[in-house]
Amino acid sequence: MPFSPTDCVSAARGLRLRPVPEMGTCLAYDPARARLHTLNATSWLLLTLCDGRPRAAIAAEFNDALRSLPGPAPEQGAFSRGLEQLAALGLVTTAANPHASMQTRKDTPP
Amino acid sequence: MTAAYANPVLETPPKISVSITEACPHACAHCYSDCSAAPKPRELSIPAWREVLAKLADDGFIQVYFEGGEPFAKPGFLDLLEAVAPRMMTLVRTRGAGLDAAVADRLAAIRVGRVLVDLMGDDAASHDATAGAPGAFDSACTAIEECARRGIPVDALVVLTRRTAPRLNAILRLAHRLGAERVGILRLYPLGRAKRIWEEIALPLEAQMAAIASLDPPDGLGVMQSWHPRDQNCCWQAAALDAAGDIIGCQYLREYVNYGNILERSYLDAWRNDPLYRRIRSGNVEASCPDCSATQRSHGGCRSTAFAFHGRWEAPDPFDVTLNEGVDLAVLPDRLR
Ligand code: SF4
Repeated sequence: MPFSPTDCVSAARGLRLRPVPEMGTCLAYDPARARLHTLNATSWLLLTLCDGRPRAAIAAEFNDALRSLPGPAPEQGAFSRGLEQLAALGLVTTAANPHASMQTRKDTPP
Repeated sequence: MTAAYANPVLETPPKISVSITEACPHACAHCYSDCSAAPKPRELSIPAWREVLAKLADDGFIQVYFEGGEPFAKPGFLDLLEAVAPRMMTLVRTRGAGLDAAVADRLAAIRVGRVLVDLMGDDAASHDATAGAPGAFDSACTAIEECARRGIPVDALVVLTRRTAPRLNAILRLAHRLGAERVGILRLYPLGRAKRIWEEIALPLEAQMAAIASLDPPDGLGVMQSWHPRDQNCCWQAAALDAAGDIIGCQYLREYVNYGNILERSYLDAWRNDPLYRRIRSGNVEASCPDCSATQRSHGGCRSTAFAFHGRWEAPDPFDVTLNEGVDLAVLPDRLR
């Protein structure tokens, strides 16, 4: 899936999250698709960070959060893979960053 | 003295089952609710259910499984479903009565999460004989087909009895042909009308295990069953209301417990504070099957059948081969007659 680090990523509209901290999971109900997903702690963390910020900012915070946890360092590519999985389930949407695209137009030769 | 087993603990439950009505146009021989064509007097109205379900969503419930009776026989049920679906994943169990093309269109528009249709045979003669209603087989098949055609996930459900056991594989093939994704094979519970014909329809455990071992589903059809080594004690996460709004924990506990009425007590209050509810969820049972505990992460098997056959909440589940202790499941305990 092509992407730009400046793309903004948001949780899908209407999504309802229901944490089940006792099990280390979060239920995510997507009424538009009538699906209930059980997210593990990593996907749950990632989804809560998808608040419309640029992808690069979400990646930085996600990786910081994983690094702050006890245990082995986060695997390479954990962020991209996680985001791809959430996108495949329809739980996140990506939109071009309007500020970034203005910049791109300025830099692009006619 | 009980052994030190413990189930997972939930501070609050996320999923609930609601028996929306005990009225049904069918007259199934083994009906657990002992349904009749007319609703029972205490049954909650649709406006009352709307308020109850809104409060449940506020309290963190994110999935509701509607059953009956026949949910589609309750006037206003589709409007209720429409009001609930934006906040909670919805599942509906039906005998198929009334679920025609127009209702399936509405279900697709509402975005119902899943429909589960009972099959009691693989042809009209066998199904209608148990359903007690001519045309019931055609309605059940139509319901599955119309849902599947619209992309609504649909499962078939079969209660394992002397009547269905010889037909299980034919029922699996039928369900697959009609478009069901999965078939759930359910145990027979000694509740409602099933008690009255128990000796006629209940199988001994060895015959149940043989029927499960003989399952040969067509490629692409999922099969769900809960016999050893998948006998779970799902009480730890179970929440349920009957048609009058009584808090009963699980539909299969309907004749044994009542934790108060939802119009007088919040679900979370019963969940947190009712001593019997807490005890049944605890998993502190007398014996636990290691294989089932390993696959299900809970202990002792089903509390409803354990209590039905032994009269003790911590008793072993006789439907589990490792916990059966010589109980003949084809004979109803005198206590339940
Ligand atoms: S009574 Fe049986 S079916 Fe019901 S929740 Fe408990 S273990 Fe599950």
